[in-house]
Amino acid sequence: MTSPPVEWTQSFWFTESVWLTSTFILILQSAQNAVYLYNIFLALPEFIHARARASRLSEWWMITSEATPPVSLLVPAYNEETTIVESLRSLLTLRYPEYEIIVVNDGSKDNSLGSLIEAFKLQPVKRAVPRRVAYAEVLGIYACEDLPNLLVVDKANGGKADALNAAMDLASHPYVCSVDADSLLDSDALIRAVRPFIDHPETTMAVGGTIRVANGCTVRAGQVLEVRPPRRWVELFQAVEYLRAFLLTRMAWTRSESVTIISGAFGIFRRETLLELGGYEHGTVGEDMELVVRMHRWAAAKGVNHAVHHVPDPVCWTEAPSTLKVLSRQRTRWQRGLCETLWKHRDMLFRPKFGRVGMLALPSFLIFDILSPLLELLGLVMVPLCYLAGILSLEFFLAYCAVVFSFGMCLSLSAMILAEYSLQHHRNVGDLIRLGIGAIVENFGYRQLNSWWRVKGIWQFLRNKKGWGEMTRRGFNERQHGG
Amino acid sequence: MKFALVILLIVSLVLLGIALVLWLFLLLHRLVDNRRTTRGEQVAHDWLGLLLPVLEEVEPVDHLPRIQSHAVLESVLELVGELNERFRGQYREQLKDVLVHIGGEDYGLELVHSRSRQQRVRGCALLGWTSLNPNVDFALERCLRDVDGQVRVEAAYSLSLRQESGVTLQAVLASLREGGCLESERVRDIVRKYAPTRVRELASLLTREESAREKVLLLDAISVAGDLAQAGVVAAQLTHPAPSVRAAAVLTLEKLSDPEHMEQVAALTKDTDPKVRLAVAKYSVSMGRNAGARYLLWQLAQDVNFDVQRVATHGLASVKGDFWERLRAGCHQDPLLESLIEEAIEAASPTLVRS
Repeated sequence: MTSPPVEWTQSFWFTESVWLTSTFILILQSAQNAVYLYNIFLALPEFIHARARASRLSEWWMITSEATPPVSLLVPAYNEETTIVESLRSLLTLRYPEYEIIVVNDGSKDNSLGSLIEAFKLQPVKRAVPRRVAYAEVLGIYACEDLPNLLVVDKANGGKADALNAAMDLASHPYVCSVDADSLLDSDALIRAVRPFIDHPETTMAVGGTIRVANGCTVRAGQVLEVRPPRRWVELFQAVEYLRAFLLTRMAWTRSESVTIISGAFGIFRRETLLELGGYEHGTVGEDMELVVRMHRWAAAKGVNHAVHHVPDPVCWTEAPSTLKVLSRQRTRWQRGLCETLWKHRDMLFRPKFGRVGMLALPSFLIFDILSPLLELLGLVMVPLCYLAGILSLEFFLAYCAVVFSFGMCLSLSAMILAEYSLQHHRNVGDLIRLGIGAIVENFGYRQLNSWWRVKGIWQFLRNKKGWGEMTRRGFNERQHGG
Repeated sequence: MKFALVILLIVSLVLLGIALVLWLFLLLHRLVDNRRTTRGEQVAHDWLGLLLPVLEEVEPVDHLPRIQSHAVLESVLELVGELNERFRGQYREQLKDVLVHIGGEDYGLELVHSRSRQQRVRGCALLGWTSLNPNVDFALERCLRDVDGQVRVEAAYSLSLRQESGVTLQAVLASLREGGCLESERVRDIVRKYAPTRVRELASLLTREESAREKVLLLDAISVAGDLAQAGVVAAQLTHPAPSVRAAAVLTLEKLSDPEHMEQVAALTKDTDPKVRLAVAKYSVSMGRNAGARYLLWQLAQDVNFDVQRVATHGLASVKGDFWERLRAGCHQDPLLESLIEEAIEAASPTLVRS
């Protein structure tokens, strides 16, 4: 039933402009969903390929082979007192032939450094600081005799990028892997992630691993013992979102050779390339994406044959925000980071010189991640109102709802199905039912909320807001299912 | 317009319907898969009890039952693989007999003829662990001509584990040239496996092959073989135009502990590529007792590349001598070198300096 039309809404220009705007929004949303659907088909062989690669290069061979390259793990830490010791213990149990861990205490205000010194009986050591990239003053370097592969750097606060720069400068291995101090790595994650560097050592420049939500899982001694979906809705939606928006999309990008984001929580790079690029960019909250885009730019300028991969099976577990307030901060920050990177590298957009990154990846970010959330929110308000006002037809309203909700549910479910079918993280059928329900329900509120946060992020970017905002965490210790 | 909207509505609903059906399929699949996994775990548990006495040679391999079903065979093969890994090859010979007895070899020969690439790869991997049999060698050599690069790499690896097969290293390398297979670091391990028994073939190939990548692989394998008699062939590569070959040649001479070609190596201290200079620094560290090597270390400790500087300074700190004192005396102009020297002193005698 539609209400009788209000007089002023009957003006020709008003109805025409409403109709045109609504049609544009519908077309854009349909196009966006079609691209996501295409991504699913694009990602499909990549998942199969990853499984085949896993069987070919047995992990045992990689662990015992001298051809497996040594890796330096870079762990920036800022106010991570609750998680840092546990995370470090998890990193020390990795199955990998040769690796070092460089933890950088980035001027924490809490007792992060003290807890590390106490837990690992650290002693100050002398180390030359070459300063091949820019970072704040190093206040002290610590090591312990029992763990020769552990180095802790205490430095003045300078942000995450600054801490990573210090760590990569002090690293001694040819490959470096950035790991968030509040994350946990599967014990085989590194050995699996390094595979592209073994298969194609000349061309592989960076590899990203999959980030998954640890909320709900059973964690003990820094290891995820049992994978379970989160109990709280907001965490469950994020678990589904990590599969839909991050894992699947990045697998599709790998297929189309246009990976532009490697999460700062788990990514491996060639140290030499990073040093040549000048390390991570200061003053941005999207330093991980900015680095990869800059890497593509550098490779294109130098004419270097290069590849950036995303590998689905190595998993890094992260604690997802459990309240909307904290989640909102995180998402607006991510959006700001995206805007900053796109703005900084705007001259790469639609430029064939930069290959698929310039012609495909960056334009799709601009259209689907910057413009689309604005129009999506406009559509959510405008279409129902205009239908009620009698300006839009019932067919239009139903088609709009089908595109936003049915298509959305189809995409969320398909991503979850594909990821679970190939990677088999959840063995319990009940858990798969729960994830499926999460994939359906996230389309009614959560995705729209996400669009709102994106718009907020764009607004903050336009107002030149800086900083990370506070991220409260509960820590992994004693985390049990439903905890 | 109305028609387009109806089509859009139908397409969206159909896609949702398909996703819901697939979800149900996933749930059913997981149920079946879980049951299969439980059965497989039970089989593995039962067979562990049967296998351990055979591996310990308490019971003969004939005591093991014959396996009829592929599902059971897959579970047992997985267990055998796991045991092989867990015991780091300790029971390798016994496991070979087990594989033949339970039909693993026949199964592997079946798999290498499969149409699926993944199955052929699995077949090659399985055959690599079986005992001497000309049929297996023939099947693996046939796989070296497979259209798929992954299958060829796996076949080459399996053949490298079966040293007795008559296939030449040249044939193995030739099979890996196409499709960029040689690029893989796994090939390094394959060539290395041939090193102990095929040093002459390696040296002969090194002089004949023109590709820089192949030369690097061969030099690496010669360094594993450790045959000082090949030092001359290796030194001839020190002037190769590719920096990767020059660096590999220096590192091979380092592994061979060859002091004879130090002069030629010394000429590379001014090489434009830092990887070559780093290799020279490592070579000089291993020749540290020699006065000429100490001079090289002193030179390289003042290199523009920090990694080269670090290796050289640490090397010089471990042998000390006049050049070390000279480096310490002249370091005050360069704070980085000064701190490197402090670091090296601490590393050389960790209990002496603690700030």
